[in-house]
Amino acid sequence: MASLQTNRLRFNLLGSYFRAAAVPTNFFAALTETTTAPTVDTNTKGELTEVANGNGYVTGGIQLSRNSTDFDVLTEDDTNDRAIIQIKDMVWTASGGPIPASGAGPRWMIVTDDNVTQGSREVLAAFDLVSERTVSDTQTLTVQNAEMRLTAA
Amino acid sequence: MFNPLDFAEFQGTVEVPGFEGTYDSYMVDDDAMYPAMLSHIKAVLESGDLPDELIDREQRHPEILPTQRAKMFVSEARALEQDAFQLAMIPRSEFEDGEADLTVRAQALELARRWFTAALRNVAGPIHVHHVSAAGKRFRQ
Repeated sequence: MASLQTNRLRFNLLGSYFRAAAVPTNFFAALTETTTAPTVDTNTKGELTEVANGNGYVTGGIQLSRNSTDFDVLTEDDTNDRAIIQIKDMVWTASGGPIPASGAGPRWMIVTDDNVTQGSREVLAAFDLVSERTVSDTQTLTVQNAEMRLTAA
Repeated sequence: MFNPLDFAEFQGTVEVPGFEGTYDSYMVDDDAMYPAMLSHIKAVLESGDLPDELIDREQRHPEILPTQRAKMFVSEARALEQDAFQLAMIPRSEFEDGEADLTVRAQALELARRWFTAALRNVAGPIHVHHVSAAGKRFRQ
């Protein structure tokens, strides 16, 4: 799938690495609708429309811990001049009804920080699910081998 | 059976102070990996079998079938243009920037890298991978 990393991610990486800026305790993988497409300029989740809470989707998404279990592959690619980090397999299971519980289905999976205010959560990356998805009761939405890539130029 | 460890040199196990979990570090010679991987993918497509190295034997997620990842990668490989894998074997230096064939070539190379990474992750658990090339980055996208 197509993906992007936001300028906010790049900014935060430089700040935390060179200026010891605070880093989140956790990250989250959330689902957003097709209403507004994330771009590299997107800053916060409040600029997007998150999928409705319910039937197996919890507002905010799935928590990702800062460890090698949840970010299970880290790549330094000298051939293509880039660095890549992979997220573990993400699974949402519809329960008690379909996902979304109401409104439009997910079109994007985004990675955010863990700000206590949902709308203020910084958007770090976005993955295009290609089309709006609807998951029937008991079925799953699975995102596998999602990668965030930082290239040299 | 394709064994990614044949192309990955173990560098050590990394522990990060203050954080849970460890991961193994590997160095991959892209000049050996890519040709083998591209040939293997072609062989898988010709055989019609699922690649054993991508079957999730660890059952990382109870909701995900062990064969799902393998099917996903095979499906992606089938969707590529027929000459993609042949183009991918040609060194980057033989293309001009902007050539249309570069896009197709890059798709095959990227698939090969991701396929290899998934296979290595399957057998080795959480990993760090360092891709290197001594032969002028011939498999650069």
